[in-house]
Amino acid sequence: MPEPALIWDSVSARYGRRTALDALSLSLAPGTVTGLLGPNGAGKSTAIALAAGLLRPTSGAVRVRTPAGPLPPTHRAARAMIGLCPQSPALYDALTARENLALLGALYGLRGAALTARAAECLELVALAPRAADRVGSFSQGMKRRLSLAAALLHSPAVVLLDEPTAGLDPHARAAILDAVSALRSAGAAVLLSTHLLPEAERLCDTAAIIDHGRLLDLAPPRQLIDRHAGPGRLTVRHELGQRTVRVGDLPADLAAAAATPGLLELRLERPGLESVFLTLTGRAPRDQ
Amino acid sequence: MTHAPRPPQTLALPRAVATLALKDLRLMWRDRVGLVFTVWFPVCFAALFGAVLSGPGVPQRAPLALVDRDGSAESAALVARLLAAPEARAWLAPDEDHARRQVLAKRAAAALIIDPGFAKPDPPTHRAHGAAAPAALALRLLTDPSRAPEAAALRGVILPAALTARWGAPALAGPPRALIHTEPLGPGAPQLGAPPSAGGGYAVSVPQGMLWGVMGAAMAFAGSLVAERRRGTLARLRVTPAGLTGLLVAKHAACAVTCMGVCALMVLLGVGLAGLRPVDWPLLVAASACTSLGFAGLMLLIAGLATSEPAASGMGWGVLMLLAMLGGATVPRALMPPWLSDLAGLSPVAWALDAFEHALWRGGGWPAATHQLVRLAALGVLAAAAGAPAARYLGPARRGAPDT
Ligand SMILES: Nc1ncnc2c1ncn2[C@@H]1O[C@H](COP(=O)(O)OP(=O)(O)OP(=O)(O)O)[C@@H](O)[C@H]1O
Ligand SMILES: [Mg+2]
Repeated sequence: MPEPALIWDSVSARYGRRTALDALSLSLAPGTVTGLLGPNGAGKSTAIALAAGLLRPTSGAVRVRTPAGPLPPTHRAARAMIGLCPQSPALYDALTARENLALLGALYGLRGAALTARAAECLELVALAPRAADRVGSFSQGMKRRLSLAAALLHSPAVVLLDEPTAGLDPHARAAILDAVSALRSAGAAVLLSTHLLPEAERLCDTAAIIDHGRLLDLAPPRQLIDRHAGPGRLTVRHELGQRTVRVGDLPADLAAAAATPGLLELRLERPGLESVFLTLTGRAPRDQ
Repeated sequence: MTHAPRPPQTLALPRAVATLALKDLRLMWRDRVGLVFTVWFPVCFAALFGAVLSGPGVPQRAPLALVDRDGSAESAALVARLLAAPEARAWLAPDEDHARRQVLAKRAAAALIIDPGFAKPDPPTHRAHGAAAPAALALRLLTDPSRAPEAAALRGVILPAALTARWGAPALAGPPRALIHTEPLGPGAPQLGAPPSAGGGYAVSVPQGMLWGVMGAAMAFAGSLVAERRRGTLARLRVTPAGLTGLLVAKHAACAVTCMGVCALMVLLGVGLAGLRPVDWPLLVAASACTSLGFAGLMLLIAGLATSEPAASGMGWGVLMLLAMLGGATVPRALMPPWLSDLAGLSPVAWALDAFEHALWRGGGWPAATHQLVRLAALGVLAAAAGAPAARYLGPARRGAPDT
């Protein structure tokens, strides 16, 4: 297991008297995607703000691995390692897409031809190359989001923090962004992906962290979480005389028994997903606080 | 295409600041409304108010320095009449230079110089042509252009007194104004084709316009900083290696550069269109720089304290406009009642106007203006030091823990 690129070491954060994050311990390994899942107000954006150095923890510490050793994210050398895609696109409407990227790239030390080439590459990645010369003010919400992601990747950071990058996107754009996230993982980046799209998180994430009320409820690969909290699923057997559904206990044995059913027409195995884990762990009431 | 992590590039802070400041200037340039406030309004203000101040105004009991270089019985009679005149508060100055300095130092609204020859008999040509009055009296009135109304009132007092002293009658036929030569101090010789005192008012309204421009720029930048905080671009820039320090320094620098640009534009217009002839260019540059520094600092303070854009613009109007009106950027301090004029001395706008006037036409150089420059620079540093920590807070609610 390689040394983590970023760790939250028992980090707490408060806004006034409200505790937004309570002793979170989590780490991001290079070449992995970590999902950060939780209801509205759970503390996902707060955890990301702490990792990006936008907030200072009230206790605990965040550490970023840099060539100069582990540093807090407020350190200049650590900031250069992190790419942040905030929850709201946060771009300059009066500048064009290319000008926005040029500005951010320049602040990360990119220059001249390298900057131009990298900006073009990132625009291509989010399918915005044809609109590069248009002002961002004329973009749709989805386009702004895509440009915001491109801006986060511009300087090829070792740690990528994505706060709901797929919210409000159409299926094509969503797929494109998730492909980009896979590519980042293959390239060796440590990716944190906060999202409400649980099926996608299940497919993409190597590890999923479920938080609520600022507390980490569980942390494991999605499959393990499902086995742990959602049970093994249901097996529906349809035969000539009707159908029956059984809770799966020991899957091979149950399957073998079902297959032996006389007059078997159809076997359907329903495996629960992260969604069930999410609902089980966080309760079913919608959050408005 | 590869997205493999790459080792971070190094970026020097000055370069980051320059990049960010250029971004701010570009955004400023694209923000037409901000530009209007920064450039258009001050120009209009200077043009209109300059014209107003150059015209005739309301009579007052104005302070008048007298210099009798003629030394005749007639000149003594004129002095005596003016010393006794209820409409003026006159006194005798030892020489012309002294009187001129009293006008420049704002102790007198004007100085009347009675030149040798005041009592000389009329040349025969006048009588031959049957003219009832001479072409001119040997009288010169040195005026402060910012006090044109008082100067006009003084002319109305001096003329009948002079005629009575010279010929024993308070009125003569002929155009009365031409008898006294009026010399507005400051913007140099009157323009060709313009009435004699035109241009004088611009010596007052151009510095006022400069101040309005500087305040417009400060308000626009305070608004843009607050907007960046609300829209999240501030957070996005903060996480880059430039950091919050680079960001705030850049905002400050871009604001100061814009302020300097507005000052330069106003001076250019004043020189080109209103006949302004700055007497001290280095002082003018220093005054522009210190004023820009001062108001860029106030910009950071307002942006740091304001929680929203309406709050920023409200503070801009509530604080800057009050300072402006108090400091003489609308009604010149000379026209204020004494207690208000004293209070006005507390406004940085008054410090800046004073420094600009010394550089533009009052003269007096560094000794006269240095204390104002120091005050403006100190204000800039203190306000920036107070405002920058407040700008550290994240988000509109500003309840988050501050960043280091
Ligand atoms: N600027 C702020 N001031 C005060 N409280 C805040 C602020 N930002 C967040 N909070 C509080 O902190 C808690 C966590 O908020 P956070 O934004 O981290 O949630 P989240 O998990 O990102 O939610 P969402 O899915 O809606 O984005 C919430 O209770 C929220 O009310
Ligand atoms: Mg959030």
